[in-house]
Amino acid sequence: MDRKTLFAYLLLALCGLSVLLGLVLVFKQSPVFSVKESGKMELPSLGKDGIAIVYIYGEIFVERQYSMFPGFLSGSDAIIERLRKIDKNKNVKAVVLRINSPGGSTGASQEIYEEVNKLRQRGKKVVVSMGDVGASGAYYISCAADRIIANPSTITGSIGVIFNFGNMQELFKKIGVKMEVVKSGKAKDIGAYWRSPEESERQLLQGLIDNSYEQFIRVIVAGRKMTYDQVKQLADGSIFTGEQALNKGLIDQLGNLPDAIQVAADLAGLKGEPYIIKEYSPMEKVFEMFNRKSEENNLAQVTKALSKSDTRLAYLME
Amino acid sequence: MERLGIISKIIVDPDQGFNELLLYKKPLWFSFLTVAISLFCQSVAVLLIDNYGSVQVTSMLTVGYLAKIIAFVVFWILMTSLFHFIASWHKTEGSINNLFILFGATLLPLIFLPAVAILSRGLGSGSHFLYLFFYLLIIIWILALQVKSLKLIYHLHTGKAISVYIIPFISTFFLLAISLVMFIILTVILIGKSF
Repeated sequence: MDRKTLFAYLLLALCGLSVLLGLVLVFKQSPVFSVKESGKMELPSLGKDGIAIVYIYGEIFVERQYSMFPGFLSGSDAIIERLRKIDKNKNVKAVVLRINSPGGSTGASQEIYEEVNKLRQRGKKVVVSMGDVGASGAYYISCAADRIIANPSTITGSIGVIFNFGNMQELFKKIGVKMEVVKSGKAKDIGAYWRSPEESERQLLQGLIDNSYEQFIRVIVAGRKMTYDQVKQLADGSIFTGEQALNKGLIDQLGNLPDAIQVAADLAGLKGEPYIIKEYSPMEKVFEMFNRKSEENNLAQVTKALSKSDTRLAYLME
Repeated sequence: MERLGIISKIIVDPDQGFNELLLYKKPLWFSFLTVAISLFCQSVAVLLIDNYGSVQVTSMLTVGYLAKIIAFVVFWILMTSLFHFIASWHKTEGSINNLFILFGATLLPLIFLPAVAILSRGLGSGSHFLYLFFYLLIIIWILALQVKSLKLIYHLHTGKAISVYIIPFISTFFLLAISLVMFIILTVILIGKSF
């Protein structure tokens, strides 16, 4: 065997060893299988432990909405999907909810709140980092977290429920338009935009508001470890700066996103520089760019706003 | 041992290695095996150099790896056909099958990537730069092997072989540039008409 061939064989042996060593290093994190309580074997955790960031930007509704930027999906459906993916990732030890929202519908806020609670129950630490605004429904969601961090002048609070609808009765009278309604029950067209609500309807709606409001207070009492009376005093829809909220016990500390990431790392027992795990796939970036919400002209927006009886209760700061 | 001999010859003496490969009893099978091993080594190297969550690691070694092989085979067939078509302009004859076999074997330098990745990772900070530098060298090596295979199959001298190799890339570049210019011109015309 000549020297060249011998050299080549040595190189090949080195390559083979490096592949084996590489696989060992990649699988290094958990060298043994773990057994769950049910008796089922679990695959070892691969990769590096770290923190995932979930962005909750804009008004929160159930419908999925896309933005130009990857990872910035909005809508409780999309956010819950992301939280569930994170839940399955054993390397994610903590989650930072980056919130910049005035709130949204009660349903969407409650769905995300429940999902965050499940995440915590399964052992992941959750820290909320508020940006400009973290009010109403956004604050509702925050109550599920281990810690709430906001900037000194973040707007938060706005604890309460709102239900608004347009009343075009006078306009229709002026232009001679009359709506004809055939209904099965007297409350069926409650909140209709073509007439003013009757007193009984107002009372019915007020009942809905009061019930949702009590749900909000209970969530704050449970999440913030405050008494019912303490929360009730603050829950008149007032907004607070981050600094004021800290004094009143509505948040845990002042800080920005990097501070929240560090707090999350400390709670999860992660050492060194916190490692951020990106959970969205590269193809999401491409698809998101082609699914932007189209813009409507001003008139269409006005018509839509007045004519659409948004029959949703909202934890929303107006 | 014969296969290892061919692989070692492709690394140290590509001309002889390629000739031995074409004389091997199942050269196409050998070529596919080389592609599979080389792409697996590349996947392992990527996992070593970048930190991924557990979900990505599992998918990259299974579904991702299979997808990579399928994508490469499609690309491999297209490129071989294209080079054969361009080489035929030079009024030379050569076997497209043999070119296909040799192109698969040219991926062999990728087997060094895991070793490079381990070395880079061991160095800590600056590891990505070192890895990228060696990756670039390996890419150049692969390109050189591909030009060599064109020379061997179509009996071209080096200059012609290089021209056959780069014509598709230059053509694609010019097509894209022309499309972009036309797009800009049409956009300007349309904007001008709307005012």
